[in-house]
Amino acid sequence: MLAQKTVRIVATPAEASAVGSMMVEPEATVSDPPLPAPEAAGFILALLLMSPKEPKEPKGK
Amino acid sequence: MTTRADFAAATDELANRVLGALRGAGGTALVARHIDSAPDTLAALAAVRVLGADTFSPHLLAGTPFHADDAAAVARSLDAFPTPAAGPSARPEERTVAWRDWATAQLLARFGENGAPPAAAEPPGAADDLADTTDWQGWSVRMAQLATLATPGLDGPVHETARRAALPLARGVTRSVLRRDFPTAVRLVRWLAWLGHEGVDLPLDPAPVHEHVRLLGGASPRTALDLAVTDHLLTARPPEAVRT
Repeated sequence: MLAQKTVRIVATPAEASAVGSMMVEPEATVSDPPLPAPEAAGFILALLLMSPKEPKEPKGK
Repeated sequence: MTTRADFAAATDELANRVLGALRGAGGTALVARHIDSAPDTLAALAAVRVLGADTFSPHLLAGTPFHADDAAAVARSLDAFPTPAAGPSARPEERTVAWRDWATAQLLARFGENGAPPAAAEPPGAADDLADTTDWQGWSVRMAQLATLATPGLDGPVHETARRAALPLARGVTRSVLRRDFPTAVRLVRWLAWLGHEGVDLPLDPAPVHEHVRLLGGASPRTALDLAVTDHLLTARPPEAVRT
């Protein structure tokens, strides 16, 4: 019924090694907490410079 | 030659099929169908070998029938990727692979009609190299690699080691969460949930950690399968023979 039953497949050593490494995945490297992107500093500075001045209290009141 | 990327893709596909069966979307002979419909038979067989005992989880946890065709497919994967020698001189990685294959072969011998290949059904030693938990950091990483053994119905030397090591496992969970290594954390929480299911007193409640790593553990189908098995272990009734 299954065609695969009649065909015996054996992996090469390299293929077996690849599968073996998937079965014993090492722990991940330490991941740092999210940090602000340095390239965003210029953008934030531009926004600060381009922002309108604070409104002043009208005189004579 | 089939590449590691092909193996990984086939493994993700089979993990999704197993998850679907666990959630009630199962059909007949999911493992055999996975191999029949795959464009690369070797990659499909590799996926069965990588998931190992988890291939049986719809049958073990959800009562889905395990067909003779499925058993033949699992036996074929063990034949295509022979278990490495796991003697005293074997590397820890080889022994870990041998233990995972042992778990697969145990379930195959139980649920398959023709039993498991004799080589894989033999336990690869007494798990002596896992008995020492002094280096609990490295030890817990190995236990994470053995997470497919944290399955109801499986018991052996690795499980005996785990029963005596609730504290190192809890430390391993905490460490992997702090390191943001969530796939490892998910696998270790699965062990803690298995211990809780067995009635072992735990120094760390696995349920809130499970919820935490569920949100942060990533979308990998293999991780989702670990989470689904943990769900079952946390919610299912403990076995009658409770060990403390």
